Amino acid sequence: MLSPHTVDSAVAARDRFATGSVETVSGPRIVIMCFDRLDRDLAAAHAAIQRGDHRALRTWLAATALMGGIFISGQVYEFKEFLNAGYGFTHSPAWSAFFGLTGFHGVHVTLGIIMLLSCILLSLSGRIRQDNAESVEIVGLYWHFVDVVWIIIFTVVYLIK
Amino acid sequence: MSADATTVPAPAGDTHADEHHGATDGLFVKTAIILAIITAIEVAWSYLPWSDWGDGTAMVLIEVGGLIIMMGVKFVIVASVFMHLRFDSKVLTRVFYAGLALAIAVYVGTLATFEFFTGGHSWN
Repeated sequence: MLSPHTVDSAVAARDRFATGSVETVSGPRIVIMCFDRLDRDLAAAHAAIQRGDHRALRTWLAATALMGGIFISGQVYEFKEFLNAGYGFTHSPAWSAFFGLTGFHGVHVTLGIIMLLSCILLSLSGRIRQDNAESVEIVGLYWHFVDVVWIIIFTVVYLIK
Repeated sequence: MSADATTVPAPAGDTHADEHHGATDGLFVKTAIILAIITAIEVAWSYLPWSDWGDGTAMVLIEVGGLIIMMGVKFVIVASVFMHLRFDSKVLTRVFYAGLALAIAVYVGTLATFEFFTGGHSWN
């Protein structure tokens, strides 16, 4: 998943951060951004339970959790790379902003993954039914709100020079 | 009370019981593809050699403005389709975007106090 090119991009991003600019395009984050875009299948999960299709519900939930997990894996990789290179939370205000923004987002995505996995377990135990599909919808609203926050973070932190 | 509430017919215009507010899986897939395309354009846009095409604020405005516009389009699409504001009551849309406007105003105000826009700050 992480080619030499993406590693080079991360290093370039790190170097640009080191100069004090918040401009960066990080290869790994672009990769996980693509996976983040695929997490939209949660809306399909809600549609599935409204149809009473539990298998589809669990499939979509699992797919969404998987994509979220790949996203978080990329974030952990990126953080590790930056920290190994000596760029931590206290390096500069730009790095504090970077770790603060992306770190909090990562925590929220992780919580969302836990919610998704909980929904799968609840579905398996028969506690998510067609008549209480709102529980999946609420998780979906949370998940997609975290998603729209990422849309802003991605542009402001990674793309704008 | 709650048991009774489940037997009360939904009010007119309440389409909550419809399949995801009338949205279909096909709509979700098409929307995700559109978002992926916009994201690809965003990334490509950020790699364009803007500084080679001219100096000054005009190029910066085009580059940053383009990215901000694409970001806004993606935001609205996700909020409208995946958060299904498009299929809900308009009051929810107003509440959502009013909160967003307030957040942006607070953020811009805070940055202004730190002289972010006038170069009075230092990242180093």
